[in-house]
Amino acid sequence: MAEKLSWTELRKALASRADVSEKDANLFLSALNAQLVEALKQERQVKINGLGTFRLQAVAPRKSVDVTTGAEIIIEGYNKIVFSPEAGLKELIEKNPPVSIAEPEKGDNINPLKKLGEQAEEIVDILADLGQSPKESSEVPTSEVTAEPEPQPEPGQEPESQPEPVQEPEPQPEPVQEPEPQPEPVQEPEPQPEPVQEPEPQPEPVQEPEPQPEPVQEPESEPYIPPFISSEDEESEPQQESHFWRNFFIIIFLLLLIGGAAYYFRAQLEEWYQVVVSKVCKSEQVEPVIAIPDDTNPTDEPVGLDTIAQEITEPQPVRPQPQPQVYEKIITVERMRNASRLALMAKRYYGSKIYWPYLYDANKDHLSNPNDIKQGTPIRIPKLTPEQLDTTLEQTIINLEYLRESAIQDSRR
Amino acid sequence: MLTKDFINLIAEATGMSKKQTEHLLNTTNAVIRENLMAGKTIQLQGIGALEIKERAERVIVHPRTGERTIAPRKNQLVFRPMANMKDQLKNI
Repeated sequence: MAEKLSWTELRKALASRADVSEKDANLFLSALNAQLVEALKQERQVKINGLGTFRLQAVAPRKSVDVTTGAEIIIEGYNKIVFSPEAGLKELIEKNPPVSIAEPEKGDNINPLKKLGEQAEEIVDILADLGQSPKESSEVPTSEVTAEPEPQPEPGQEPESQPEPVQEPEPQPEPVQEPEPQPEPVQEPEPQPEPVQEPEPQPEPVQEPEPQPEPVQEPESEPYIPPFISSEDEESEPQQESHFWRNFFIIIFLLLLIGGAAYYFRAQLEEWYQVVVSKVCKSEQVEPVIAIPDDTNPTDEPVGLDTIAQEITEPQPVRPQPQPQVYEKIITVERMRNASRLALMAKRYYGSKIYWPYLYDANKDHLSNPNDIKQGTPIRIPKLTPEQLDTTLEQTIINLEYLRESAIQDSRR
Repeated sequence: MLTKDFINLIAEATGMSKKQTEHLLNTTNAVIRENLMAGKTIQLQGIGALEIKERAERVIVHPRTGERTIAPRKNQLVFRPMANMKDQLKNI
């Protein structure tokens, strides 16, 4: 442990330095202490220029267990004093370690080194088992030599072995001074007596402040990083890995999104598919001719009924094609007026606007565009069969759709 | 509480002049500093002790990149309060 500056010594030093009597120094110092505590109690924080800041930190009460009885107890909350040094002082201390602290007592060296030696032995044994032979042969720990560069990375705690860039297997005291970039030069004189005790190479316990002037010199010359050089690859891997997983999940997410959209719109998609298919099929088929006989006498068998019945009864693997409509009778003829619309007329005569394609169809001979019908044009109103009006029949729907589509196409021309 | 106010507090308690107490405080700081640099722990009676502690080398991991580096060893100025300070400060 480092030496102490006792209270009395402080007092004496103060008295002499500040040129006051010891009595005054004593008075001052006691007041200093007492007031410091008082001020902390009052304001929870006291800043002293040249030293640092004393603060009170509150510690919350917590539950615990009475060790003897096992009963639950509550540890009361309290305040503790916390000190943070002033910036300048902090730096000063960080960078210039006091000599006395840096100096390890000789007695302490031996033991830790021995432990290290044991560790080194173990490591070497392990390595030997793994088939890696130490660079320089033989018995490991005792040989000044070697350093197996391998054992070092393993115990992550032994970075200090690295900092021996300069390699001089023999003259032990010398390397001490050079390889130590980190340890302050102050420590140099110390390590020298140590080499004697260190036939064990590397493993330096983290605890030791001294740089072990291990005769074992690593080929690597970088003081700080070497043990982790081998792990540099690993370092890059996680980064790559993490990118990989990230991309992977992004792709999965996109696929799910597209799949979900497709599922959501599957009805629409099916429709489009059917349209495409049917268009393809239509182009192969002959366009159905819509015969609109001038006279209303039924000539042949009505196209619609039988075929419709057939088609409905037969199971149809393929979607049925639209049938040409034949209109047997004409109820009446209406002339287009100013605000007439086929749809409205359909509603009037058939009960629903949806049947307007029949009207267009029945008058196709003199109608080119369902949207553009001149005033006064006579529109034949055919009498529709019950089947034609029955929208539960698939064929009817198909017919209507077809007529509607063609009417729309006409309107676009 | 700032240094100035603290000095006033001490001055009142001791009866000395402000200038005098400031001078004494500065000297105290200087003495403490020197002794710290010499490696001694300073005992402040009734409060605790100031000492320099060592921080050995350790491996630090960057939280985002996962990169590992060795932080070099360094010293820290540490204040160790007296054992019974806890009781003293309980009822504030």
